[in-house]
Amino acid sequence: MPERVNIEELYKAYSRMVYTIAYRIVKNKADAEDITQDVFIKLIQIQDSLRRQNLKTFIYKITVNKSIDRLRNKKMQTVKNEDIKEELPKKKDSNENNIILNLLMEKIDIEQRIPILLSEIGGFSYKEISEILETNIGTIKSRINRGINTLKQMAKEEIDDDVSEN
Amino acid sequence: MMCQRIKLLLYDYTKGELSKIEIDMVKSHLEKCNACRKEMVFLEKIKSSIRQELLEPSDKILYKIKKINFENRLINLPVFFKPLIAFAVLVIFLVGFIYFGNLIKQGKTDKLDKFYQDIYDISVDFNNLS
Ligand SMILES: [Zn+2]
Repeated sequence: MPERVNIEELYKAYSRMVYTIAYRIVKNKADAEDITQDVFIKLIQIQDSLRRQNLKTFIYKITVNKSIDRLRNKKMQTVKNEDIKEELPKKKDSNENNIILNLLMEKIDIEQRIPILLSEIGGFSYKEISEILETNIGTIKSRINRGINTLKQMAKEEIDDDVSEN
Repeated sequence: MMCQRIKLLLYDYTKGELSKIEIDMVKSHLEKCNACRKEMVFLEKIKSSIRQELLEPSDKILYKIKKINFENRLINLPVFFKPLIAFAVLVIFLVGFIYFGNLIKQGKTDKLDKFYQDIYDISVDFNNLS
């Protein structure tokens, strides 16, 4: 009999990543928490058919799908974006640079942002990302690279030059 | 020209998603080109800023998940557990009967009388109500 997957153990291991990815997609804490909860409820419901193999990929797939659904529903209600309207701070301090970079990241097109998040936060390979998003690997690769280039471009304009030199 | 080509490969290079030939090309170029090295450092900064901060969902979600998980496990108890529970209930009833039986045997019927009296009172009250 295959080893049963323990939900609380899964929660410990993945809740932060699930929540972070969801938050970075929907840009709203309440929604991100709902999504996190939904993801784990779903995992409870299908607990007996869960296998350790590919589990991480599977969890991210549910997370991304639920986040995109949520975003679509919100778009239909044309809710304004709460987080981007903040003024970008302009200081050299490295923590603030991270804040700036995070805010810039929010501006990256969702089609590029999601694979970038999966690549950096999830640590997935292009192949795994293409499985999660059900998109071919070439498209994933070019979306990630375009997104990263836009991010670099914006960051160079936003952050003082010396950041890229030390 | 070369720098432009290398810059386009840098992200894939950090991901280890290049061919062996491309990896060697980037590596040897980085060794001799200061501008591309700076670009690489900058890219690493951007990458670490994305990875940097994992957010923590509130504890109430954990509690809710624990609760739902517990309920779900009760509902989905393995089949052999159900007769086990039925058996446990039966044992409790039997023990109860034996206990009352012993009370009667020992002549301690006052407790039993009190019990019957209570039931009688309740049923009278109930009849009066209806
Ligand atoms: Zn160069």
